[in-house]
Amino acid sequence: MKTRIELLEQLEEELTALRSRVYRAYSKEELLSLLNSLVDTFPTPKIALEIRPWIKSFDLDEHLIKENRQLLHLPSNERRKALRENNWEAACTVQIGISGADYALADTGTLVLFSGSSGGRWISLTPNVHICLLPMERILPSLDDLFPLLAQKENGAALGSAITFITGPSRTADIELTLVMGAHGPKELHVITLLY
Amino acid sequence: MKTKTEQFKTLAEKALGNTAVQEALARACGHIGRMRSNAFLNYPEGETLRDQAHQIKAGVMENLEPLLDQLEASARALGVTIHRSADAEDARRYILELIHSRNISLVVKGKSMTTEEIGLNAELEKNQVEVWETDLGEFIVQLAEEPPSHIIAPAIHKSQKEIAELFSKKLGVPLYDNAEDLTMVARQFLREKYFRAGMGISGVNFAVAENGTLVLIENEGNGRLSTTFPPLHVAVMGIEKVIPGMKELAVFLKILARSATGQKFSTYMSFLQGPGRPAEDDGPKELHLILLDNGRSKILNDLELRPSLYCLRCGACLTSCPVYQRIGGHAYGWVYSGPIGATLAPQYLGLLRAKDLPMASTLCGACASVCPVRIPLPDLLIKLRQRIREKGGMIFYEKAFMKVWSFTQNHPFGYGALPVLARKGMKIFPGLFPQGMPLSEKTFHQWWHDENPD
Repeated sequence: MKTRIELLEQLEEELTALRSRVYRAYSKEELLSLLNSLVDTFPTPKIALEIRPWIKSFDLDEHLIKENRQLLHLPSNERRKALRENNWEAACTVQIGISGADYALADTGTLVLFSGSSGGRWISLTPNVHICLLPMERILPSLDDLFPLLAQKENGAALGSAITFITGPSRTADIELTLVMGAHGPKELHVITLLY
Repeated sequence: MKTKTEQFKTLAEKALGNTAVQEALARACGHIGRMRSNAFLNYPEGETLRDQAHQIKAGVMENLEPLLDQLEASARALGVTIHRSADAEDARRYILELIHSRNISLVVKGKSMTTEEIGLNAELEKNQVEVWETDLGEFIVQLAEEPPSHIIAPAIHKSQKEIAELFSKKLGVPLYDNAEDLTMVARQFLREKYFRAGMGISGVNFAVAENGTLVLIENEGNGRLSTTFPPLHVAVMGIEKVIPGMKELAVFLKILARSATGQKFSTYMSFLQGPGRPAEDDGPKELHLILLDNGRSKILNDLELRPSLYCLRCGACLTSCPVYQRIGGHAYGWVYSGPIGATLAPQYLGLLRAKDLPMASTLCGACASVCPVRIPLPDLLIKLRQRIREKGGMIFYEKAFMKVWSFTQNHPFGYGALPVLARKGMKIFPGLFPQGMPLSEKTFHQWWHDENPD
């Protein structure tokens, strides 16, 4: 049995090999400064934040709002209604999506997101940059440890209509086998593990 | 696509004369093959998992009808609409009816071999429906008006330069000289299509009977986009893709990407459980699942050839095949190529219509050695050859050759004379043996006799 920290190390190694960036946040202040520095790589960033309760409890929206930055607040019923009515221009122009992860699988470098707890699927999909916040206790050794959890009743509502397994940024090698990141999904994947 | 299996010999000869295609295939197959073999070298439990995968598929085939009924019930409970199609025509008609009843003019497609099999794009275009393939390789071959040439790498036969010229001509973009810029052209061109499309069509990698989950696997994210934003998602699956439960799913997930591309997992695996929910921002309003037979039941009832239904469409047998590596996918003249295509084509299209395909194999066994579900492809090809022969699908000189061969194998004199005659022939007609291999001093028989005088 691997310890928590060994699992984290394994996950980080796999993610790095998959051309993703990994960070550790030991406090809320560290998390905020990491997020701010990532967001600052864009001159006029447009950001979308996921709705899950533990992300909400960080009050990230307050801290991320600055001059030149635009933040899509989620959820708000009006926003969802607009999205649902196929008014996707707003979602299309978001450059940075900040989501949580429900689980991560250390041996394959995989993030697992439930559309139920994420409130949808798009934040990890349409932006150029996907930043994923991962509480350390959510790291599992492998797929075999996840499947029994999916079957548990208490996870039922959280699962939603799509369980998405994300193993690295979007990629293709359809042109002469040249690896290109960001074929259709995010070009960059940043994973911040929360150790506090 | 138009089926051209009858023209195999002509198409293969043409491919052999195209050095650009030869080079592209050699490079791609070598690379993907090495990735696959490294992935399994570093994963010793993979071999046991392949045995298990074979057993699971054998069990599925024993139990196919009850599993499909179970899948229907559990998917319905998740809000999925189920339609069973006996053949390609019915599946096409069902999709067209959906399109007409909802006034849809634009359709996006995630990568799906099954919709290639039923010739969906041609039918949609004939009915003035705008349809876009969104997987980069599929997008390229769609623009080039060609069929895909490999299950997982549809544009494997095209050079970057050709693709740059194609994009420039068809999309009016500058002539880019690198894969990244070209990929971004496709990304930008297709992005708004997902949001405007009235329907997204996908295949299905696995459908889990016990809980109705549809599993879609990809690297690019176009599959996710196509099944998330259009209000209607239509998933088309061959009936053989059903599996009993999540336990079995885990076995397949661990070996599928390793076999296809050498990755541990593909970038995105989506477990879809019905249409989008009211509390979610996105997801389709409706999800329709088409269970396609189209000849599969016939194969199911043919016990000798049934294992050809185990296929996961990973493409490993294509990449490993010395014949595929030389002639590429188009020569086979059908949607599935390589060893699995040569096995399926005569069963789907008729023995005589595809009679040359099972012959285009050295029976070296490379395909069986990489197949994640251990389909005994060479055995199936031999069986098909026998059946084609019984149906009279042999030409005069093949028959004559077999007569002579059978005589030499049944008569010691003939057996001894054969190598001597063959050596004489090679000396008299050296031009027939273009490899220029030097003849050994003695025949094997002579050598063996001299080494073992007793």
